[in-house]
Amino acid sequence: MRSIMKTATTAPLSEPVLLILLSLAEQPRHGYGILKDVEEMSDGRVVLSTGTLYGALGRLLDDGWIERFEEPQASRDRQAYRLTAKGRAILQAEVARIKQLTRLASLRVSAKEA
Amino acid sequence: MLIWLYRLLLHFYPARYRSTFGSEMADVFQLARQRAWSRGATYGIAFCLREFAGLVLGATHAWARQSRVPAQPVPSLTTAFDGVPTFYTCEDYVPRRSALLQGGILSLAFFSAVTAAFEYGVNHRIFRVATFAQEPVQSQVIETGGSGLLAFGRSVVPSGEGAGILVLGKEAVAAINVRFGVVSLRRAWSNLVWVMKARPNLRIVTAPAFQKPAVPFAAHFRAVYFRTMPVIAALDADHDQVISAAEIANAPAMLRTLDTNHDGKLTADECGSSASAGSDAGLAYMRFHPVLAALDADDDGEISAKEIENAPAALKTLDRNHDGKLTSDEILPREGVPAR
Repeated sequence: MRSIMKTATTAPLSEPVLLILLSLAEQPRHGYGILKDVEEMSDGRVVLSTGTLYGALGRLLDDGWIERFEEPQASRDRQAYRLTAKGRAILQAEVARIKQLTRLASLRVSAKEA
Repeated sequence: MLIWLYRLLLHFYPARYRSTFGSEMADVFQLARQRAWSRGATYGIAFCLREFAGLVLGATHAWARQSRVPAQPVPSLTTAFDGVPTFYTCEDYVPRRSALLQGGILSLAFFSAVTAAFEYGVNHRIFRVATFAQEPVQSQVIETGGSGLLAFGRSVVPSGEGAGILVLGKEAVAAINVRFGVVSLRRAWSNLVWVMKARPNLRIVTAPAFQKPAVPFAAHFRAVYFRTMPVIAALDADHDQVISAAEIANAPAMLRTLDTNHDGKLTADECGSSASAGSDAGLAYMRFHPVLAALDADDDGEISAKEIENAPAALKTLDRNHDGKLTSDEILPREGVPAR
């Protein structure tokens, strides 16, 4: 229900979910790769535990925002994740929303300083 | 050791979730653990705490999510031998387990509420199926106070061996009739049997039969007056509705038992009035009742210690026929005739 509402109303995403989607927007990654990338993107501020990471991945898979596949070049049969078209659209909508919010915030702050 | 503990904790997750992500989570945990401990012990300890807390939270969310989105098999067509489907539904919705549980709890709560309403709704008219009444022994007075639930509770029948009448309402009669018919209303019947055994002196009558006996209102009023008027009830020690010579002689002692505040005198409220002592209503109360008016010789609205002491002489002034005792016709207030 929550995911349906988010899709319909483009409600803001939580920071861990946004960072996971951003991580997968660049390239498909496996679980550990996402974990490291999220930490690097947030300068160590967001450190996901495996429980949190796979909880989020499970929800994103159920909602069809990401998909799972076997990495063909890996030494072991490891599962990797990539964005679906739906997930990319939602990410773009979220980024647009953040941009609009940032632009509005800049205008308001600069007007106050002037 | 840590990976062993981690794999063990993974069993808190639902089986479907564990089979999908379990081994992958353990692999990631191994890699992340090595990286954290390579940064130092502080990082390593923080990592372990975060991981195990995350596992507990993750398992909780996984179970909650599983109850919201259950993996239900889509009903399949069942075909008979001739190939015609014997059962088919277009609806693949199946209530989730938590909904079934909540529905069960709600049903139990509703059932309990209805049962409690029947058990304790004694004063509600629709639940009233029987009325208890005292047996008239001498005065042919029937007290119709109290109500009962023959079919739903035994506590409404007063304990003791005294005589009485248990009046069955039409609902109870209907219940008994049903018992003799095809359907067994066990509780109504077992309660009635219990009453017959436990209170052998009770006369059990049905409501129509109970309403027929003509009970003079005066007799009813007389009995109620002797029982509810505190001064009369105290003086009539043997409750025979006659204040005998011996009871008149013993009046001071009996009146003193009513002196609840131990100030040596009786005020209107101690004599049974709802009005406060010294009020006009209290004074009117004392003047209305012949016995009180006789006892309150100085008409000040209270019976002083001296008046209590003189009570036998004051009571004898009410003995109009000089037979040495006071009967109801000498005690009861008379309509249109003020006591004082």
